[in-house]
Amino acid sequence: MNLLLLAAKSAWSRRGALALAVLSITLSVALLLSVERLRHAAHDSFAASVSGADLVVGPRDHPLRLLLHAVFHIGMPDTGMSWDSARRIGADPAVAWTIPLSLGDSHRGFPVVATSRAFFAHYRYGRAQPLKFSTGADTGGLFRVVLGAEVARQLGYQIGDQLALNHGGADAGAHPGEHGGHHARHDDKPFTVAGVLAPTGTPVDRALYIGLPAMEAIHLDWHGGAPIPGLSLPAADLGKFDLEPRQVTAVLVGLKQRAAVLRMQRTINTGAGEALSAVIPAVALSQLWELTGAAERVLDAISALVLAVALCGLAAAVLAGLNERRRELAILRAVGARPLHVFLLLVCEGAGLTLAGAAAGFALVQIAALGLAPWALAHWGLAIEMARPSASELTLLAAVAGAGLVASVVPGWRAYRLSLGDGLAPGV
Amino acid sequence: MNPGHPHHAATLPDRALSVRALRFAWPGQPACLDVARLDVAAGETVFLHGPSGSGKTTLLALLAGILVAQSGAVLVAGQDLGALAPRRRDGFRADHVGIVFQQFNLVPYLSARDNVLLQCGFSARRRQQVRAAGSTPQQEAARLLERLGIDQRLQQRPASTLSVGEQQRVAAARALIGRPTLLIADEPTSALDEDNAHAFLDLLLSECGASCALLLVSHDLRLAPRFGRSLAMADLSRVARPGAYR
Repeated sequence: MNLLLLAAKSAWSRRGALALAVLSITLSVALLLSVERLRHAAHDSFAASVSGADLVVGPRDHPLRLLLHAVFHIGMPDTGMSWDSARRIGADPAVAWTIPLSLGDSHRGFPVVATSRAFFAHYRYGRAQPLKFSTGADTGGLFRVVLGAEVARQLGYQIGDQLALNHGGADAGAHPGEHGGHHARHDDKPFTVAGVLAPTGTPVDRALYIGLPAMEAIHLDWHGGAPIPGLSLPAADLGKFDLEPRQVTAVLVGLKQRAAVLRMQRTINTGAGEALSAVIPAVALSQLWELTGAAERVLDAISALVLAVALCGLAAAVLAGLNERRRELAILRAVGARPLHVFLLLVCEGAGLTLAGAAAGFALVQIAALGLAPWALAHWGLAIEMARPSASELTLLAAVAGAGLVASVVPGWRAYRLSLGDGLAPGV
Repeated sequence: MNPGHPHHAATLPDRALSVRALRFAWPGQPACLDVARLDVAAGETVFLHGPSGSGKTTLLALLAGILVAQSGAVLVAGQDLGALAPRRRDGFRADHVGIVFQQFNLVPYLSARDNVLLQCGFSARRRQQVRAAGSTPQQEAARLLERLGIDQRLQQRPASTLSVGEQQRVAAARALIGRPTLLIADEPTSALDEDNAHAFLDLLLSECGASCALLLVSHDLRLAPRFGRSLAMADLSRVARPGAYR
């Protein structure tokens, strides 16, 4: 009978006393893995929102700020970039496509994004997946709006419903009173819902999409952020006007060859004319993670402490059982076990229990991921996957096993000393 | 007598056990054991009696090589235990010495048969002996247990569910499997009633046979006539009863 089997049978015979120690390891490992997995989910979900774009171009600004407001609709841009610049970039032979984005309006707290049809054709999320309509389509037409999945779900809109946009950002929409009630609304030019996008787990779900000409049209009789008094253009007459935009907030750029990205970025950043910033999304995101890194490290440290406490609990449980097992150890010595065997028996037990706890913790996280994934996607936009353990998770589990081994040396050493001193008659 | 030298083993080929000038003290205490000489021939049965506290259990631990004396020599099958490195000494014990305690002999969470096999697990020599007799450790454990009155059904049960008498018989089977040189029994019958004690002794004596020497320690003098030789602890160890010092 080998030592591992013996250790397993011995631990099983004391399973009641050891179960709590293993449970605390299970929970602390689950906590550790959850922190790790949620962090990855957060990172991935940010990265997934810009998976198709090689560059984000906007007015000269901090790269992170530009990325946050252009793609994630966080914060408000001070200025825009000219439509001429946007067109010039689109005409560059290295550029495969551009998606112009114009922000500023909102509807009941959700940002309204004015864009071109290129958005539905070229925008990619997650693992380079294209956008899909769950109902309706991008039918064209001036006052048509396409809704993100979350917008449609929360506000209960269906194809054909009419809605009015608010002037100003998402926050203003939540408090219409601050902007002078109905004066800050585009009530006179309602939009018709043409389509609803399928869920993506990205900010796309939480935005409304209209055409760039429509954005121009609803602001024709406006000036400086408010309607021009006495001037109100009927919606039917708008076709007579030039609805070509003068400004956009940012442009997402897809290159024919990704290798050209650094050259293209330099060309835009240093080009003559309008001062622009070209941002590589992954680079800007890594700056974001540096900013949030300190908070993540605190979470890591707390999880590690919880695990350390659990391992101390395990060592204590094994130690506490040792006194009752002196007889068992003396029998093993009598049949020829060396003190080293006794030491290894205890270490195997501690390490095995740690491994069992770690495996159970991993299983718990997998099951939770499976059960909570739809909910997390709907409420947080976090795509949690029940994936094979990642390299960092495996490293974590290996570290847990290693720490369990170290913690098990304590009862192992105690048993070793006991088995030397007890002789054939323990406790005498 | 030069107890440090293992090669005078060659002069004692037919002895299961030889003790010479053995003195032992627990750390920080005066000597509790002083045995000038003890010889047990191969296959001999020896009864050793003495009151509790006379150092019987300590002596057995020394003979089994679990404790090592400060001076003197213990030879089992001609091998000086003190001359062996600790790990070799443990291996030698597994090979040559079977031990039966007063009670609580078995690892409680293993089945009766696994308790017997445990001994083979630590001893290559015992496995070889079993195979040389044309059997396997599994078969031999089952056969021995059967002969000692532990049937197949009982053999599969966890040791902790057996009666004390059954446990002692399993312990005997464990000590005996693979033909050790010496069987040491420390009050093996004192937890049994008189009928069971005698039945157990019958089994032990018959299973030891001619090949395995038996050294049994007990305070119950009624058992003495069953043995080839009887010794008093007081005569054996000068420390046990200072008045008996010769």
